[in-house]
Amino acid sequence: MMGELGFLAPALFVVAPLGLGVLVWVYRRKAQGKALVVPTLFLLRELKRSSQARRQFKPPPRFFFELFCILLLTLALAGMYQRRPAMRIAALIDNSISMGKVVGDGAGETDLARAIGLARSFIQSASSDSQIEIFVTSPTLRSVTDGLSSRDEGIRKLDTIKLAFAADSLESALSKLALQASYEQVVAFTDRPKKAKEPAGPRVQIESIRADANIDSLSNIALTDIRYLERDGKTEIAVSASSYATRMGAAKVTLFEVQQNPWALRKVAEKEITLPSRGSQEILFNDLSPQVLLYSAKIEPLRNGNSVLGNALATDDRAWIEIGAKEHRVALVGPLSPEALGLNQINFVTFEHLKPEEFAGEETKAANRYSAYLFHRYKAQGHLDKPTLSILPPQLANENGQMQPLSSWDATHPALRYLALATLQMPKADVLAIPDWGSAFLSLSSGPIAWSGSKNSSNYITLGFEVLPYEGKKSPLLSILLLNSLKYVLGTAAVGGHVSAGDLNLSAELQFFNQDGSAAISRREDISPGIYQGAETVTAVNYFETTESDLVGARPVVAAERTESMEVGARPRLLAPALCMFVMLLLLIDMIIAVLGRKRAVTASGGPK
Amino acid sequence: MLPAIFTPALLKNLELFKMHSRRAFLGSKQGGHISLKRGHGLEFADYRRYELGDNPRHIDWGVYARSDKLIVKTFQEEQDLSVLILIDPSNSMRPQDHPQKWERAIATALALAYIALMQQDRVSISIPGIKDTPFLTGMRAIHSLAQALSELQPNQPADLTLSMRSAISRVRFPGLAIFISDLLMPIEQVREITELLRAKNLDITTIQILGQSDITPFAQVSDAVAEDSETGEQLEFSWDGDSQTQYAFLLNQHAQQIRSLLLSRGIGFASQLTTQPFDEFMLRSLPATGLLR
Repeated sequence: MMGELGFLAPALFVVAPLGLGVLVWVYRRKAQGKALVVPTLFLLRELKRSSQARRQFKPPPRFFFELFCILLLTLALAGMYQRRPAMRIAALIDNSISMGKVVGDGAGETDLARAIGLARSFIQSASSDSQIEIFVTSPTLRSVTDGLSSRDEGIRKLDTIKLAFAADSLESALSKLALQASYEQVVAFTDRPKKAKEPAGPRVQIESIRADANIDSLSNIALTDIRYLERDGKTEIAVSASSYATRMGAAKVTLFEVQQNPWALRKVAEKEITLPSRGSQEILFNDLSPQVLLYSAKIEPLRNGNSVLGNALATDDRAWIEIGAKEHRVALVGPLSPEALGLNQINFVTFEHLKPEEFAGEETKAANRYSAYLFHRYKAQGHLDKPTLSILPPQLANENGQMQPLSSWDATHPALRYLALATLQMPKADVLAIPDWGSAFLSLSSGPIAWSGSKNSSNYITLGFEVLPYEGKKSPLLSILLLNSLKYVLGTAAVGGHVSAGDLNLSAELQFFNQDGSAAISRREDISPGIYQGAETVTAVNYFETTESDLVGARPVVAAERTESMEVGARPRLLAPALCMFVMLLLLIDMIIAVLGRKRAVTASGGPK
Repeated sequence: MLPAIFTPALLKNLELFKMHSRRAFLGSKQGGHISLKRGHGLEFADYRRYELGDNPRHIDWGVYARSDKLIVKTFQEEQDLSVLILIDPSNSMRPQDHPQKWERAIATALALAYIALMQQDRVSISIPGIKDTPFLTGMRAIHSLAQALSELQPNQPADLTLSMRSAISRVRFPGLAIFISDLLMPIEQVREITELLRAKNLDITTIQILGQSDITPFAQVSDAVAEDSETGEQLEFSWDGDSQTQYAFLLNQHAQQIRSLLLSRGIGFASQLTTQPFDEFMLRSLPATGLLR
């Protein structure tokens, strides 16, 4: 199918008349040769006067051949391309935190701006009657255009896209879009590298703006955690700093206390550290004043000899913490202790172990002591009117599955935040029976394996597969799922004195404290790390996400498998290379003809054979 | 050394001719041309009364016998003739890569000088603004003239008329003036030059020499840029079949106008092409104008 033609740089068509002018001039000069000296001009002047009107340019056939070549080259120069036929296109813009980096010679341009520019060019190259829907990945997959829109509307909406403090969840977004038959093509614009070998099929297209040419420019340092400790009645703050660079370097971590009324930052202490290549270090600030309730930490690279650590992403250089945040006590009911299950590593919750036999008698007594229950391989008798997370409750299992891929999930469920589930295969998951007030958010083809629900102001989650022991980074996917689930049932996002951006429940009276003391927020997507002040409370908001901060080792995008085949148009076909090849072929033929013609002439005139 | 074109046969034939002036002029010494001066000559001029001092040998004794009056016969004295040969110094006389016209002009001048010197006439060859030889006599002078002209090339004078005026100013005895040129100049300028020569009471003959490049400026049919050899001015035009026809017409028209102008003023006119054999021009065409006899 022949799509309409377009030009990337139509202004360069000006080359055509220039080229024509030069060609005519050259031919006229060539026809005239050098000026011929004649005895006198006075007769020729008379002749010209009488024959002025007759003078005209009569080009030889070769002139038209060369003009044709010039026109072809002009078309190539103007970036002639073949537009795809009208299509329905989903353009997915990665607006995750890593897109805020500034690298290379972009003159301060963020990757998000570059991605938007690339998307704009892509959409402009689509045929004018194509329909476009633009999505952003973060914090959750969201349509910017609210459905399919015209090409021009899509281009206009690109300018409204802003950076979000959240992970990209690119795979899940791509999977979800790829499954929708309403889009003939899904194009993602991201800073993550493409997988070396893309799966067959052109339906999902990854446009990576990553520049691997200078990997050092992607070096980054970040604060990856902040928490407070109480030791002997004194407050200590531990800050984790990480380096995502290919070499070691020095950095300075500064701790500020946040003063209220008016808001201000006052430096408390600073420490210089040496960060190993792709490693992290914990910095402890102790002997802090017990009166101060809000702190902020900042990391910045230091010159170490001639080298300075790169810091492509500035947004992950700060951390905020609120001292004395509410502590959650959760009863772990199951055969294994919190230590055995690694739950003691979760610092925003205090787990107390109740063996099943102990719990049976403590049900009513314990009800007020704990914020929530975590049942591990245990099923309580009856319904508890307390937030509950149940992991692999054996009684509810009615079928066994083994290493099956997820068939569906609710990407918007808070328990699945930050999770790329497209390629996840669940080990030994049990299909669960769901009460009528609950709904599944993870399912295999054989049935639901995770559900959640709310009843009497308490949240409940039941997982039909094992997520313990908690192994942190060693098993990031299950760890995040566990933490998300805990936060969901506890009804809070606060972890160790701060909330993750995206988990903050915005309300009208909540105001963002910026260092210049302004900037009210209005949208969930605008939440950025800092201090938010409510009527009576303040909340510290951070965003720690190693996958976003680690620009050097960014995971390649794995496009979702295509579950259906569909004929789609290829991306706009740039015709410039083909035009240039054609011109080169013409010139080659011309050269061969010229050489053969000359040889024949020499032979005919008795020259060397 | 005369140019190679002067073969012994040509020289022998040239010696048969002598310069002929349509008018008599006073010469400076005895020569081969009837002079305005009355004296000892062969040509009878008039009768007059005998006066003291007259040579008694000139008394016409037959008249005395019949009328008893002493009448003497007077004769026109034969004197030499001043011949001034002027060669047009314009660059158009030697277009680039076409030296034939200039060479033909030099040869023509030397041939005329040879004829004149053979008759003991005084000859000067002048290339205005470049070289003016003195009036020379005697056969040996032909070699001096040939030597003087051999290395000369045209050099466009800033003002041809002015240079001509300067060259003519050396003439003390009226005589013959031969102007050799391609005459590819406006009619007004030709008129101006001839007026200068007439003002010196010279018997003028104009010899036009045209080269092949004057007849056909461009060998190929194409757009062309012509550069004036005299002014350096360039002119673009289309040289095609129609142009060639029209150019030939214009050239012919110009020649006709010049011929009419010159003849109306009693100025001799001869024209030669460089393609025409030199001896044919000298021995046939030029005598037909009356310059040579």
